[in-house]
Amino acid sequence: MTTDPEIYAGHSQEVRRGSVVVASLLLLRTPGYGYGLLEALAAAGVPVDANTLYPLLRRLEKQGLLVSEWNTDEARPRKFYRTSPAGEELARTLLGEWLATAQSLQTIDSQEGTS
Amino acid sequence: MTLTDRYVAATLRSVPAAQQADIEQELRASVADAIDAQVESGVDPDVAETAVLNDLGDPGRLAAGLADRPLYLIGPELFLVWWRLLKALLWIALIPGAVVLTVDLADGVAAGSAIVSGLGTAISVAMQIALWTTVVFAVLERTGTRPAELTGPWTVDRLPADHPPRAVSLVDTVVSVGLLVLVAAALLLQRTVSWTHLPEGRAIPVLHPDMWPVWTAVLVAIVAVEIALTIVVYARGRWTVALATVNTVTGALFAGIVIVLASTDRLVNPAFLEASGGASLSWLSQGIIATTVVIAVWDVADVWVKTLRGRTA
Repeated sequence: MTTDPEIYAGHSQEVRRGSVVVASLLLLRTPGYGYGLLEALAAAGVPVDANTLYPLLRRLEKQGLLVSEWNTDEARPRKFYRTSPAGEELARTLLGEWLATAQSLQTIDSQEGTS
Repeated sequence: MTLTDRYVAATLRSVPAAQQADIEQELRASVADAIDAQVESGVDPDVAETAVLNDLGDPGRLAAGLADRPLYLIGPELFLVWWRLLKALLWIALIPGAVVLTVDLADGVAAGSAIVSGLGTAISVAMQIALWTTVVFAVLERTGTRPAELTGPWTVDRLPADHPPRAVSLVDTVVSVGLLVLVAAALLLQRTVSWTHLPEGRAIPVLHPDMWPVWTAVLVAIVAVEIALTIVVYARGRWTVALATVNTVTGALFAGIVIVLASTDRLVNPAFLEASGGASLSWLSQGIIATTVVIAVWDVADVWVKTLRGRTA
């Protein structure tokens, strides 16, 4: 049985939603700018739309999980984001939850529905 | 002006002034980076620009995201609080509608146009109530108010009361409908069937001849609404706030019309009074007014007591 692509896309988005935050906070331990991060996330297997990522970066900055700085050394000035200590701590906690959830799901799967 | 310039301008239009410079510079850099990446892989610069901007989508949506603004009037958190309050408040609109209807009828306006203006008043008041309630909630949504701050957290105490089925008995309903039908029949038949007759045998109407046809029709219409209401109450098994409000409006209308007519000596046919050798008209009018007030107040109060008792039971 194949699932309706729209239904699949909706659930897939639900599953991935939190992963972009964790991936961004982990990647930005090395300072990066908007488009660079977009590429890095896609390369790391966590693709995200530009119009989702850019607002997310501003929100994380507002929450104090990222700090930003303008780099005007190059011809094109770019806003560089860096994960704050609070952001790094949160990312590690969330990553732990992510892994624990995956573990739990695997355990449930291996029991093959014994309810 | 390039496409990018126009896109950036459209985005900045709905962004707070304090953030505009920062957002503009960052957005321009991001768009330029994305175009460069496509051009490097061999895409025509104009095609690349169009593709990148199409990917970013509606600038209004992007601006809302960047400014962290909701793209809805009332979100799921507040929706139920808004909806319940609105439904409760909308019943108020019936009151000014009924007042306008009664005043128009008392002023001798034709029944049809009185009903239209009463309905028009109720609708415009309802629209005002809906507008301002929604405006207030849209503001609450934007100031980050949570429902717990307005109504406290939900607990099982808020479950609707568990009503015994059929708090209204069939006998009560049948008796009420029967009495109402009798009233309607009396209103319609009093012109031809009467206690007193002219010497030549024609009946003398009990009610003032001027009451036919408009006032009689209005009173019969109100009685018809009350019959329908009685049946609805039986079907629902109990009085609800909405039904009790309708009952209040119809009761007030009926009593109001009778009182206005009686106090201006337009209710009872003077010829009938004379033929039956009854008391003077002013005494009769005062008696009718007093009786009407007592019955109307008792009925309205009784229904509200039943309604509120049903809610807390």
